[in-house]
Amino acid sequence: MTAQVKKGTDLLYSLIAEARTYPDAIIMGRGDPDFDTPAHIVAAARAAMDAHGADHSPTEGLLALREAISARVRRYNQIEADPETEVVVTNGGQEALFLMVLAAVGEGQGLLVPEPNYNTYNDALRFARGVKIGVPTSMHENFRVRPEQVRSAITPVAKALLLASPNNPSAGVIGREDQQALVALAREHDLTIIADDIYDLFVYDDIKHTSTAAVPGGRERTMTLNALSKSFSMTGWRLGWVVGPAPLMARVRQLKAAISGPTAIISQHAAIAALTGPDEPVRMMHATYERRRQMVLDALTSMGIPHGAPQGGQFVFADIGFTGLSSIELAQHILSTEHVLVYPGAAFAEGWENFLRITFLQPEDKLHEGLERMKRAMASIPASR
Amino acid sequence: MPYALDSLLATPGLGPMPTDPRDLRGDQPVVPLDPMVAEAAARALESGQTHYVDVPGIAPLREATARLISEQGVICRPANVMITAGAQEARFLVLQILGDAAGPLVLPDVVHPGVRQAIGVRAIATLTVATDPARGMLVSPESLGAALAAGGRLIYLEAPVRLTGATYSQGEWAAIAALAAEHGAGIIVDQGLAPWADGPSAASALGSAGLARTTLIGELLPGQGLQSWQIGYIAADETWLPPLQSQKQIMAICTSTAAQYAALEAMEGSVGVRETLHPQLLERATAARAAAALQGLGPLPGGAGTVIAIHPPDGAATQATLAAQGYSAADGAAFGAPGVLRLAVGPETDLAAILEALA
Repeated sequence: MTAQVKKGTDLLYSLIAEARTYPDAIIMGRGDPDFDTPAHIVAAARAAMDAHGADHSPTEGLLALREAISARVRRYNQIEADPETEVVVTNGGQEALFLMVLAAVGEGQGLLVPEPNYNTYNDALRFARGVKIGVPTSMHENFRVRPEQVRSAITPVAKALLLASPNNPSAGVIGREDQQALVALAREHDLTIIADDIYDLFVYDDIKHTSTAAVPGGRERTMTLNALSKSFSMTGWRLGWVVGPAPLMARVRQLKAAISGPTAIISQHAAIAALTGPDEPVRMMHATYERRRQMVLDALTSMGIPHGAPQGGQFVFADIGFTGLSSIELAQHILSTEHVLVYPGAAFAEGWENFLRITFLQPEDKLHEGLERMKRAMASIPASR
Repeated sequence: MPYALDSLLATPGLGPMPTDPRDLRGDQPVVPLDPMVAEAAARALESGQTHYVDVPGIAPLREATARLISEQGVICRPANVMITAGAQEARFLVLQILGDAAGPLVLPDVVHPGVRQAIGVRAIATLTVATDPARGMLVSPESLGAALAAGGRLIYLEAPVRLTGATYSQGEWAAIAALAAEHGAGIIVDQGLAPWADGPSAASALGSAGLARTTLIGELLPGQGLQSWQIGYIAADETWLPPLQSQKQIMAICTSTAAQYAALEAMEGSVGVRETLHPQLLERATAARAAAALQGLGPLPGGAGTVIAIHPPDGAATQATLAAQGYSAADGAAFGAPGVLRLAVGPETDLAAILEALA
């Protein structure tokens, strides 16, 4: 059980590596949608190779793409972003995240992070030599980010606030009233806000997504990331973006130049096609994920695993504390006995050792089989525990 | 809102790279994309290669890259190779991760602007060594030895030098390798311009120690139309790959699949592109350097076929004259060499004629 000695991202990658050794593995851990990229986007990429394959791009991305991103965030997020100065194209949401953390937090400075949180925020913050200031949430409140909890966590070194909605891995969504209170708090303490909207199109049960930068007072202090990985199933293209006020975006652009330079030209042309083309693929994926989400919730209920009511995202974060196993032990048990990969909560933040993240990014027949196998694994937990 | 790293990030860069033949700021030839390469990338995408791939790169591309580097005279296995999103990401990773773990870094005072930009993101301990303009901004083994004696543990070199194209001799490489061994130091070599120079490559000169002490970085397949697909590489000792891979995962998860499949096709199917272009560019660079000398523009010694550097009596005036004629040169100040200008030698540009017209 080599996974036991690893932490965070390294832990997840060791589990991925083990899963690859099982030919019949079912992956319900990694956030890679099973759908291929829609055909019209691939066709646009092919056409762009002929017409623009040797073109150069500025560091911040092609203007045509920045204009498309500006239109997208206006339409879906009610965020105004000048394509000339307030948009930077990135190598996926992951690079966007890395750039935003570096732009907001310097050595010794603090980032307020509602927990649990996507593990890469911990890694990026460690690289920046910054300080993580955890803000607790609770499954019993659907992982709500309570403004008063954030206020009580603020320390003198706090410089920035992370607001991921829907949250990965908790699937919690920050409602408009809380967004307004959190923005007011950020203004009061002069905090830069890092907003992660990557799952904004994937909310369920009539929940409405509110972007932090769309709340009055939010725009001038908020950098917002998004990407096409989840919404158009384009994980391999590495295409994301950050939008925000010009002074912050100038810094993001400088960092992008220092870290990687422009994003690959064909990915940029594919992104233009995605953002200016039909929405049907996104609607189809949303409807599919909604069905699959219910499958996972039903299966967890039948296994007696508490799960709350996940409001968004492409995963469920479930409480396995009753098993007596840690999340690493249980994830390892499920993987080694039934060849199903789920992610242990311990990889996301300290204090979440009793949770598992289960994605629903497999075809329904495979997801059904994965859940059946998981049931068997749960039934075969060693009695001594 | 003040930020701690603002001053470091004020480091100048080169800005966007050329989009037309009158833009002479680049250092790699801009050529059209081979239709076969585009076709291979499109086929990969159409067959569903649109998902995350392994952090260090797709296996066949790592294998092909390892073979390419091994052909330069150093034993390189796929496990030594990581594919990056272009040369700058490779630069950033090795400088930040290896520099932090194995530094202090020994840096020439004239380097590609991307080096200072990368180090500016997060402070890394460095020792600077002076370069010699009379030798095309090379550093001497003696000055490297002094820096290592002063505590430097990781030498960063460009071979050829990105500003001038100058190359180290076999004897200099031997001396540098001996110094590194004596001081237990590592060597990072940006060999991105090596395909366009005839001197001994770092890989061949340092190859006797394999990659145990040497890390190689650069653009993958320059001159094959992939300049804006952002595809680069790191070849390093296997013990260095895990931390580099972890950081790559944090920064980007993986490199664009389309770019990787395009590079794979370019590597396996487009044999001979460099062989055709290389002598043509070398000839043009030599002619351009001669024209610069005739014009009194102070050409610096070089070696690579894709760039020449000049140090005219009045760099700003020369830059202005070039600009008046619609040309732009890379400003040496961004490299650490104020007054020097770098001019691209490309397949579509008669640089000698441009310089002659400056009279």
